[in-house]
Amino acid sequence: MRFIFFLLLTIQLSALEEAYAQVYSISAQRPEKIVGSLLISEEISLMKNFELSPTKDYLICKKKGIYFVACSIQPAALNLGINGHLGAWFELNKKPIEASTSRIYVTEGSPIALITIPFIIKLNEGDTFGTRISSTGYDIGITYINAPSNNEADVPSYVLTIYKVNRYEEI
Amino acid sequence: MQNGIPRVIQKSRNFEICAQDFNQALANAEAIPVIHRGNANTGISRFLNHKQYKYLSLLFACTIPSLLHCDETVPQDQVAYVEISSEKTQIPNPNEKSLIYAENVSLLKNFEISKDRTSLTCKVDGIYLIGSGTQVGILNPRVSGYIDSWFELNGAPIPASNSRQYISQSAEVALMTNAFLIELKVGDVIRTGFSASGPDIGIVAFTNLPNNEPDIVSFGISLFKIY
Repeated sequence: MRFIFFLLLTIQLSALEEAYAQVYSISAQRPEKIVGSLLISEEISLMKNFELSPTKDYLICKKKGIYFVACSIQPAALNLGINGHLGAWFELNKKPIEASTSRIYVTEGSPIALITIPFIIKLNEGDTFGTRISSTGYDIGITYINAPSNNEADVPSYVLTIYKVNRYEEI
Repeated sequence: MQNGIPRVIQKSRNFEICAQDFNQALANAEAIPVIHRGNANTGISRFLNHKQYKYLSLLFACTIPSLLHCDETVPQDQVAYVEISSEKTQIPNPNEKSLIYAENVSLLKNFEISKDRTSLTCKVDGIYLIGSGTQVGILNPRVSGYIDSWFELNGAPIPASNSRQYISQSAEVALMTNAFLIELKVGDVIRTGFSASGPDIGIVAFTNLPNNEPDIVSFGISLFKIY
């Protein structure tokens, strides 16, 4: 009988656990040729039931569930006279997630753009999750803009936001 | 116990989309009458006294909605969301901090919007997701430049909330979208600031579109409490 009590109590307590994270980067980043690069986040806004990897390029999930994830990236021509495109996609356990890629062009006339990718994903405990970019050239990457004016916040090059959608645990 | 589990199951609107859990609930519900009847020779009731029934019932009543992903256990005073938008073209003032206003209110619960329509005041503590869309445009065809847009909490810019989008003669309109998590306390005020690199750059709305196409708003923002 005690086992049933403890089992139900454990289910109920675990069901109420929350999971979310928001990390971001304050540096310009350039993708490597062909394979691209996982984006690095040096800063943490919020973190619960997630862990940022020691290399700071992916999140480690600690709570199984369905998650809403969104990343915002500032693709940019990092040199004068550059035109080309940048693609970004999510990776789960170091494998690309299908249908998660977005691509945007930057040109000399419009050297900075914004990509936001919202996505729903199922994660298990221990899963690793990150964002990879690739581009048509070394001088097309993502950019960080430091305090455009006194009244403004810095423009981060990359923000990754994730939270558990189903508040209750799946059994 | 008597009204617990059956009541929750009947009232829930989530069962159809949770088929597996629903089956599980049905399986659990079948066990409930056994407990309710107090048949000493049937099922787990053999092991329980009256007091244990009560505790077990309470645990079931709390647990089953969890298994069903049923949100009826969330008190309504803990629910908070807002969606507002603007159908006006807005140009930031180059000499002072400019805030985006939203004259249209689609949804509003446990938030309050200021009279000038620039500020949202939170009424429930929690973690919130903010989603916003800003339609950036140039008002003069020979202009190019950029718009910055960021969120403010209690009058101060929120770190890492700023975004920049360039527009030019070859791309006169662009869309900036953002998703952001933030912790809010009761009384906290959220606003959206914006600035531009030149006088003829702002956020633009498109109305009276053909073929019953809905208006394109210059700005829309949604907030809702996730925890």
